[in-house]
Amino acid sequence: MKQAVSAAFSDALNDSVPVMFGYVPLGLAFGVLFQSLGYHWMFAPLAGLLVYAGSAQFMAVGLLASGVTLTETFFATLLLNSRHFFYGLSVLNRYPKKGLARWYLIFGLTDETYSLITAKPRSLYSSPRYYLWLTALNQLYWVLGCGFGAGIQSYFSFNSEGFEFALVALFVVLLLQQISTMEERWLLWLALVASLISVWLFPDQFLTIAILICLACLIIKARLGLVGE
Amino acid sequence: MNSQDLIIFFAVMALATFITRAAPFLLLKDNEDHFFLQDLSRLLPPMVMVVLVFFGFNQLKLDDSNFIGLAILAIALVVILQLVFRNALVSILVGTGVYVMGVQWMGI
Repeated sequence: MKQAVSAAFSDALNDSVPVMFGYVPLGLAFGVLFQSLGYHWMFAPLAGLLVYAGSAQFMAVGLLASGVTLTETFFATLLLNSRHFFYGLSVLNRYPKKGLARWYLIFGLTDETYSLITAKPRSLYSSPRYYLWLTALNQLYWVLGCGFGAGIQSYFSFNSEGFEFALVALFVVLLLQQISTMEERWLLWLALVASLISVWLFPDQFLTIAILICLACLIIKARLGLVGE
Repeated sequence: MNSQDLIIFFAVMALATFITRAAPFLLLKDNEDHFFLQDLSRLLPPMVMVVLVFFGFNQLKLDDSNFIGLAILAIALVVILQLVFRNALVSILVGTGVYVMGVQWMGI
C-alpha cells in the first residue's frame, strides 16, 4: 500500500516537472500583474486556489481594471474556458466514477494537466492516485507561482513589463505539441483566418467568436462527410 | 472593489470555470464514443491553440513597431527552441526572458 502511494507520487512528480517550469514563471507573471491593481498580495494565490485557470486569471486582471459586472465576468469566463469542455470528453472513462477525487480531478483539468493525462498510455495508469498527485502537484506549482509573484512584487516592486509574453510562449509550445500528431494542418490556417476575421469585426468578443467559427467549421466539415475518412 | 467583492468576483469566475470542465462529465456520459465528439476533441484543441496564440500576441503592448518585431522574434525563438530541444521550460523561459529584456531596454 505504502509502496503504491510512493510509486504513484514519484511518477506524478517526474511527469509534472515540465508543467512546474511552465506554471511557476506564468504564476509569477500573473502575481506581478495582479499586484498592479493594488489589492493585498494574498488574493493572487487565492485566485490560483479557487479559479485555477491561467488565461482566465490573466483576463481577470483586465476585467478588474475595467470594472465589469459579475454577469459579464461569468459569461466571459465561460466562453474563454469553453475549450475545457472538449478536454473532459477524452478523459471521461479514465477518471474514477464517483467520490471527491472525481470532482477534484474535474476541477483541476487544465490544458497542461489534460495533455499530461492523455499522453499516458491508458493501460499503464488506471490509478486514480496517480491522476490525483499529478493534478494536485500542478495546482501547487500554480498557487506557489501566483503567491510568490504577488508577494515579491508587493515588497520589492520590480519592473514586470513584458512578463505577459510567458502566456504567448506557453500557447506556442502547446500548439507545437498538438500539431505534431495532427494530419489536418489546413484547419490551423482556418483557425488563423477565423482569428483575423473576428479580431477585425468583433474586437471585444474576439476569443469567443473565433472559437465559435472554428467549431462551426468542424460541424460543417462533419456534415459534408469529411470527418473520419 | 473591496476585498469582499473581490472574493465574490473570484467565486463567480471559479464557478464558470468549473462548469466548463464538468459539463461533458454531466451531459455526455452515455455518448462518449460518438465519432463526431471524438473528432472534435482531437481537432478543436489545436485550432483553439492557434486562436490563443493570436489572442496572447494581440494582448502584448504593440503600439511601437519595435515591439512587434521583438514579439515576432521572441515567438520565432520559442518555436525554434521547442522544435530542437522539445523542452517546454527552455522554450518558455528563454523566449520570455528575451522579450522582457527587449521591452525593458527599449522602453528606457
